[in-house]
Amino acid sequence: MNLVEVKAQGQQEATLEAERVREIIAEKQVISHQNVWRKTTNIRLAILYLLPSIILFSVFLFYPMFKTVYLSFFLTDARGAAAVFVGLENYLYLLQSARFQKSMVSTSLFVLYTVPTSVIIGLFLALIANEKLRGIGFFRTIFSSTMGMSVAASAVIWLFLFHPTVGIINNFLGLFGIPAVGWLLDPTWALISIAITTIWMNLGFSFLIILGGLQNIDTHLYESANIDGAGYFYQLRRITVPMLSPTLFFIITITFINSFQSFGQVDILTRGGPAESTNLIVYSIYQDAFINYQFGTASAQAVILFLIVFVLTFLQFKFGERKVHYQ
Amino acid sequence: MNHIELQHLSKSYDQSSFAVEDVTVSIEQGEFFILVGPSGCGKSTMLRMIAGLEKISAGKLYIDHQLANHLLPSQRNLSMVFQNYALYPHLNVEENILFGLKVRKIKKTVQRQRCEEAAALLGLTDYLKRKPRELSGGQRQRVALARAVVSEAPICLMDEPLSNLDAKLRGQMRTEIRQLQRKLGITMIYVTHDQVEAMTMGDRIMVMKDGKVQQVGTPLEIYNKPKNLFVATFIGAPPMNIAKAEVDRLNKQLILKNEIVITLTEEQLFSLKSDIVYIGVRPEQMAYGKGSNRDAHLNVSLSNIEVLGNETLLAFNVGDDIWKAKWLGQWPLDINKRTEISFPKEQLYLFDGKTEETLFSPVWNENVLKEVLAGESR
Repeated sequence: MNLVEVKAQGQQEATLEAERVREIIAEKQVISHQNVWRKTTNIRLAILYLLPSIILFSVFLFYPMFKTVYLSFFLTDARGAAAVFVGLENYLYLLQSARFQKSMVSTSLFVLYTVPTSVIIGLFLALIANEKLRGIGFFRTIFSSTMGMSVAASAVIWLFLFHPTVGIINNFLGLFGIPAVGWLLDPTWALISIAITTIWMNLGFSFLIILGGLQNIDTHLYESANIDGAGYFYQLRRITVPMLSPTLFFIITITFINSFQSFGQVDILTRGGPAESTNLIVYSIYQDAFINYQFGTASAQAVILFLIVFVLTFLQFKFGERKVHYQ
Repeated sequence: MNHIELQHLSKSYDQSSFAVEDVTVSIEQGEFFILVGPSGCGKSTMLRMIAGLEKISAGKLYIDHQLANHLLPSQRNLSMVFQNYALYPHLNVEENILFGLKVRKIKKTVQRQRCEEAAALLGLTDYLKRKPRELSGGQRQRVALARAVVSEAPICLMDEPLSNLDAKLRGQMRTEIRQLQRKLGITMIYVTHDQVEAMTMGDRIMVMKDGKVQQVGTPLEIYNKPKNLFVATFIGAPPMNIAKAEVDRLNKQLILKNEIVITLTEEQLFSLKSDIVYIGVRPEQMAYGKGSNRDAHLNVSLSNIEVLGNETLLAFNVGDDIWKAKWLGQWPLDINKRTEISFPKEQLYLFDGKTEETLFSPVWNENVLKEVLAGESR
């Protein structure tokens, strides 16, 4: 008997078996005679429990989202009401505007600076804080402390550190004879300064999550590798990172979205300047909407931001998840 | 030739109490050596000290006559199988098996050859490309064994490797591991809390309790000549029946709590140093009926009967203790009626009431039996 015949026979057997199952079910099943009201008890209960979040999401998320999309097709008056329908004009205007293009470039650079650095430093801190040493709890608290700090407070701290004359960073550099850097005033440095602040703010969260991931790894794996004679970096590469991949994937996705949405630190440290070098997309939206009262273009920018983050996150899931080992 | 030698090996985690205290033993080349004891007795700690995963607090460890106290785990030339197998979940079976060889940078051709051999030996050839999570418990166990096999280390340490398997598979793997060890001629140190595994697999057994060695010997030595009450009750299923008794030297007899009286032989009486002793009888020595005058007999009410098809387990109270009897065959006894049970007096174990050391144990006629068998085969 050749392969095709075997396959055909298998299929035939499967259909016969399915027929038998259906017959027995049709013959022996007991049909419930409850009325509609009782049959839908579960569904009605489910809706009741879902209602609070449905209401909250609708008011604060779904309605503003649709309104934003709606507004992005209009020119608005000073109070933000839709005045003239312009179709895709707002989008066309933005894509041609040098200011928007510059904002997109700074945002991309900003994401590029912050995401890998936050995750790598967080991983490093988590690795050293995962050692079983006396007083390690103190370091774990310190390393995760930025999680409990507001954006405003963090930004103000760094405002003082970056101060051109009394700032501690420039004073420290001065000790080695390095001339003062205009951290927030120099267009080449301002974006980097904002990135440093953001990385510092991200660290607490990424540290804590990665530490949690590290502690979930079975210590026997390392003991087994030790008996085999694997060195520290070999274990890091072949065991820790693969075992940590779901955690790293999560933290990369979250940091990525957060970086695109950075606003507070820009507002406090540079207000988008100097020379619009730190005019990140969310700050640009804020300026257009609440300073220039251009709700139409602001909404269009918000929609573009949404689409970019959506597409990039989607791609991340599509291609990044292949390298993730869930247990 | 001794392969691994422990001299006064001790471990303390908190510097105020011992987890393992003063263990001295010499393990021969190619021996299957078992560490057995209740959980928390320090047997795993001992194994981990030999592996180099725990620091040795005091004492000396020799591997191949070389002081090994401060060698790294990888320098001790051994393999280890963990209780949860410690397989890398992100690597497939083949990569798991070859992990150690890759670390040691062994030639690719040699790697492939050893992997194929080990897989064939353990029946894993069809599963080499699967991930550990796609395997059953027994298959994972085999992967862990294969990892030990490919390392070709002369020493293998196993830490309760069968405790995550179901009873049937455990019985099967027991034989497989034993056969594998014989075939490869490796020195095996095997930790278990299961006395059945200890009895069936080991060349020698070390019984531990509270970090201290209770007895080291062959399975039959441990079973027939236990050094103390703990060893006697730990080895054997169901365990040895124990009851406290007072010594009546005038009438040469023991008096148990519920007024059962057992007369003693001169030899037994001489071995008693204190006035309170524990008596011990193996459940399989119990018989139905009053027996002869060489037997001690008990009139008891049964508290439970378990008929297992090939044998029957009976439970009854002697004083405050629950005793068990194991009889071959199926015994349809009435649980409400009193039953006569007897056992030969020469099968009695006697333990000191205070130190719990063995004072008297029955004659063990292993040599006689061996001669009889040798005579028959001739």
